[in-house]
Amino acid sequence: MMVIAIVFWQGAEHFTGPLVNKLADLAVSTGRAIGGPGMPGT
Amino acid sequence: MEALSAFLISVGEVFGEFWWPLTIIGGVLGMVAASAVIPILNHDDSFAQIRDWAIKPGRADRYRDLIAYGLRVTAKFYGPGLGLSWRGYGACLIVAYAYPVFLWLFAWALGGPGALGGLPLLDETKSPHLRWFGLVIVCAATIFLALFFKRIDQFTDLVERFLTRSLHRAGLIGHFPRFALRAAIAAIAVVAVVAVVGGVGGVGGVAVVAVFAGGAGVAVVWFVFLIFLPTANAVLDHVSIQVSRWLLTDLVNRRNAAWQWLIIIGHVSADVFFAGLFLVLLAILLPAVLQLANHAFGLIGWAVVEWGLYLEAARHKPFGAGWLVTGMLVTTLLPTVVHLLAAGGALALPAIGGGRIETLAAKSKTTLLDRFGFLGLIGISVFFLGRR
Repeated sequence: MMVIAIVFWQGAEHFTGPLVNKLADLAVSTGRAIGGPGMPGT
Repeated sequence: MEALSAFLISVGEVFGEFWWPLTIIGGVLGMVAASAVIPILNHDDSFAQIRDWAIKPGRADRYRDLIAYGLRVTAKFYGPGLGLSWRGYGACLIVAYAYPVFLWLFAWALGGPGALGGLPLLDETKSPHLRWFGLVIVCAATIFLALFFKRIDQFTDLVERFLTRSLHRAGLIGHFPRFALRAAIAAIAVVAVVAVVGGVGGVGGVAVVAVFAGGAGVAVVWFVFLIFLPTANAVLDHVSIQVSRWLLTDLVNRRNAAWQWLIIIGHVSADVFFAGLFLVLLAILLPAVLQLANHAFGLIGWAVVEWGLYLEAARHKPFGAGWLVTGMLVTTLLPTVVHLLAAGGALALPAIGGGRIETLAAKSKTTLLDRFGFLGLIGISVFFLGRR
């Protein structure tokens, strides 16, 4: 069970990585559009 | 091939690194699952329900029955209406209070950042072993407090009896007001647990006492975990759940329509599409809320929320150090995931069970072992066990 869980876990990380990156880009764009202190990369 | 090798190596690395906390978690979950399942299987009517469902002819029928049961369960929490409602939002909000904190701790145990609002509440210099230790202490304390508050009346009775007897022995007659006793007991329990977690958890790098210490940085933490994250997350959780419920109810209502397979594919596709849409909306809403909060914190001179750290962790390790961000997003997908599990379970069942399910179901008398075997074969159906 644990091996299956880890395989799924790692598989999910491999395949969802690009999606999470896209969502992170979207989040940063949103933050920049609003502006203010605490923005990533500032 | 290279990608596959890299994938298999990463699986091995994760297993090597986390085998012991996973063994503990797996063991505890296994015990909880067994203690929940054995009484159900021993109960003849419950087992008969599972059996009737499992041998029901027709995948579409089985699928609809699962969905209908799931819908009845959700109606208890979110109310009977399929539109947006305060009751449904409230139910999502209660859940949304708990998981950001635990996702934050979990992500930190997996190597994620632990500072918020300029405060290093979770020590990032601690080793993974100590971080897991800290996480276990916080979880144990939470479970202890939940059990304590569930039984607070009994504790109050005990203390009340003890105090009354002591007063009587001292030659005094009187009693303490019950509400004051209960409040005092609750306060002592919370303070004691916070102190213990602060002391023991501190070894694991959890600075829980700092959360109660006051100051602007602490106010930022409270605002983020008690107001901004839960209220924003619950909005899309609620919308996502209601859209899934509406689609599924419509599907069940079309039981006798023509072109069944097309209707099912259409509804599942629509559910997946909306889940994706809400995921994107959440990826806009959460940073917007946090950045607006940062504006306000900046204006009054408070520390700002360093959400970029968490975002970067999610980019590099979405299912490790970045679990706070990934988890916040994934929760919006849960209703759709449950829907797909029901679809998958219903469709895959004949292939998994084969003739063995029929053989077991045909037995006039079944032992507990038979029932376990039966349950193992139908696997997924246990999640949807219930009253018709």
